[in-house]
Amino acid sequence: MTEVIDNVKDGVDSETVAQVREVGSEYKYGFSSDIETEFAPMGLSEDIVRLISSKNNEPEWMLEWRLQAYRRWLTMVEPDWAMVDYPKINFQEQYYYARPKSMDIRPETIDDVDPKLLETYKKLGIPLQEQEALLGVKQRKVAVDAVFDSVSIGTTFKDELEKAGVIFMPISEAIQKHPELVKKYLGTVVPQADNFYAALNCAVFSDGSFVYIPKGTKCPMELSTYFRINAENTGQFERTLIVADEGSYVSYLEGCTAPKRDSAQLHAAVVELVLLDDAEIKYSTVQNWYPGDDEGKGGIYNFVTKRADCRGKNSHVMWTQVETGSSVTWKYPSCILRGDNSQGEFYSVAITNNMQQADTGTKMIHLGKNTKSRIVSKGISAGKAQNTYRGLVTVHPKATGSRNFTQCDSLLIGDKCGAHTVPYIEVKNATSKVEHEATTSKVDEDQLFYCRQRGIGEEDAVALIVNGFAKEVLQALPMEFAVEAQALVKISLEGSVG
Amino acid sequence: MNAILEAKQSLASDWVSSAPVVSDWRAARLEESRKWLLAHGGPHARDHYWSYTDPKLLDASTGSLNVAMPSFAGTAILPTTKTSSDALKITPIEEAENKLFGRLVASAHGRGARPLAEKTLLSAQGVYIEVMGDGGVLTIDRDVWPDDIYLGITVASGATLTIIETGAKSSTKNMVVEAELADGASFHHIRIAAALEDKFHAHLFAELGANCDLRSFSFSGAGHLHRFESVVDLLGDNSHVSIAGADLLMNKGHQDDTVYITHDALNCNSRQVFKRVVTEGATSVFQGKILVKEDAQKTDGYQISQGLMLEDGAEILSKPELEIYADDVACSHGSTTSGMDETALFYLRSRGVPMNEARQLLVRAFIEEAIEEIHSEDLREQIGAMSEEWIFGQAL
Repeated sequence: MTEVIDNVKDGVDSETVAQVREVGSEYKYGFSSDIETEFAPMGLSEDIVRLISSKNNEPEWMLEWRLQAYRRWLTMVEPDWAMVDYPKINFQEQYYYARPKSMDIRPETIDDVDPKLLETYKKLGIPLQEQEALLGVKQRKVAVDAVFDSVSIGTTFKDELEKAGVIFMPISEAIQKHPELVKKYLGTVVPQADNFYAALNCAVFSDGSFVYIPKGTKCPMELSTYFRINAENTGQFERTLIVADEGSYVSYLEGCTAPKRDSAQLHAAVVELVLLDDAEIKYSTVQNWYPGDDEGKGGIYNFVTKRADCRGKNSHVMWTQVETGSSVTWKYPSCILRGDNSQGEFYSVAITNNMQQADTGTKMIHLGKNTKSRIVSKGISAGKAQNTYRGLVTVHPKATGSRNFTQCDSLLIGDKCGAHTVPYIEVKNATSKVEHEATTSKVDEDQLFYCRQRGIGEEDAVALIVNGFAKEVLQALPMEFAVEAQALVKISLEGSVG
Repeated sequence: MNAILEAKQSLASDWVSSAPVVSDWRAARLEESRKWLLAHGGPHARDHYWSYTDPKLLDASTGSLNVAMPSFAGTAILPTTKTSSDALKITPIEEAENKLFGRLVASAHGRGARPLAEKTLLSAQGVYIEVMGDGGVLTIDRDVWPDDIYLGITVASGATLTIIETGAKSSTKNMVVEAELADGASFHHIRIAAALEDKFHAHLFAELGANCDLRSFSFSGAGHLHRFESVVDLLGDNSHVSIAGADLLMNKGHQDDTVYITHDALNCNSRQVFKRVVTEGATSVFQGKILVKEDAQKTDGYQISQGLMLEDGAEILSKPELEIYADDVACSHGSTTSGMDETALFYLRSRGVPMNEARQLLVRAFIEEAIEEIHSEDLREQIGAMSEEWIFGQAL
């Protein structure tokens, strides 16, 4: 890296700077596909909600549930507490449903899908063919649910998953085929009126993924959903519901991209995770929605509600997110640690560049005894971007013996951007321990001593401790999805501002 | 939303209508307070900035327990105090117009509305303190000062002043201090509040030039509701500010320390150090913020808030916030909350220290970092001794 970069203070790793510049320089997934698309009429009303429900052939209870959410939404006010600034959204100037014409009748298998759609995913590098192992070379299998605008175009490895008892299908299909499971869990983690955007999602969500992992089952492969917004002026409202029954395990990934457009587009998703006793879910996101251009024109408004409910004892949820896209991000993947000894983890790398704004973080709600949580957040801001970590750690009176550790670092590249930290820490019993740290100098003394004692220099020791587990997590992301994430591992936070 | 604003405005209109009559010049400034209050209203539980301290606590009734207060050396002042020397001039606010009155309060609204400061301006009696040299130590005893308190302080270049506030009896007084520090000025402020029945809301607004030194330390021993707000603007280069507090909430009570430090100059150093000890029924709130503006390069901001919860049934709530727009700065914030360190306790017990005494020692050690922030060794010792008396008198 010999390039001379101005406006960067001493001590900031040049490779990091170059990496951030590259992430922010050109959006690789900005092409749009010429697909004949059928839209619902523009705007939002009870009729549109009914239309979306009928397009998906939904039972009456589902429509009622949507209408209930829509009526609640009408009474709600758009939240304004986040440190993001964007023009007021006109909810009547959006399409709430866009479906490729070729998807009028749901194709039986991936092979029946319109080749033009498949071409889009090929260009994005998403494998939709169930490739066999070649010449004895073992290839890691990843089952993919591909969501294009408002519909899922197909799910791979269905049969193999079925054999293991795992249900992985578009949620629209799950509502038909497994209504008892959907009814039992939908909206139990993120209620209809949880917040403005969640209520909107409840009313108009069109597709998304449904996963059920039965008791004692380790899902035989990684599951993933790839979201693509293609149509213009269209919001994408997907809904993901993952239920991990007792003693089960699943690793789930999501990726997302959108074409370059001059007008901003809305994406308001809801993700609900339910974990019963001893269950484990690893949920990873590589968020790479179109961030808008250098002047902030266009891009995705990413207003997402993600929450995991660790209902069972000893359950364990891990959120990992790599956020590089979207013009505005409003997203707080959270953990409700209800079961005794349950654990929540949140690892985030958020990079904002140009005019991007991100207000992201997590909530760790400790309700059960001996619950543990760990938060590692790294925010990097360049250009004129604003990057905010906002997090809540709350330990209820009955959550005795609980433990939280939070580490937030931010780095500014250039003097026109901002990095902000807004943590809320609430502790209501005397046997729990909560630590929030924001600089390398506040690294745990014992750990530091341990490293120093073994001859590791202080700086290296600090780097090891602070960056150690975040790197581990990023490296755990499957290759197929994480080209960007892999590159980001190089980013160091030397010279962080706090 | 409108219902909330109406509730806030109705609260404020009660305040406005009950404000006493004041001199002409002050009435003109207070008209602005009235207008502001009627438009924005008082605080409301739904205000973000009040999420950890319900403003209803301001009206609730309380128990009764007071503690002994040490006496500090210094010149006691009252709203009627009038004095003039080369180093120090004190004038009652009613007697002369002063542009400082309410100026810093108004400018602070841009960083969060402060209705209780406006309310205090309406009702307070007070003095201007102009310091031209060594202003020495001034003391204010809230037990003998009958009203809400206003202090307008101007510290000239190179001048120094220390103010110590005490008050053992319960009170529902409020207080506003506005301090302007010229280049090279020093102002030290110490507040001791320990009456259980207190519903005491105090504000310190300060604006610093270059090479200034501002230190504010508060000790809170109890208090039905104490809310101490400090709003400090660093406008000149190379200044230092420290806002610290040791809170020992052993008898229920609610203590809220809210600090907002704005770095708007080069190479300034700010510290927020808060140590909070709570037992059953107590709530301790810390809301700290460091705002570093675009041009405030080489800022060094430090913020630490630590809570020690001795029993269940208490709450420690913290919001240590950073907002940074300059890239060549170092800001750190740490916040921890836990119970008593069992290993340290075991160490002391194994050396024959009785349980209660061991716990007292550890509590005393815990608050030391905040006491260290006090500028003068004498005062450090005196306040250290006072806190020891207070801690060692408690069954922990």
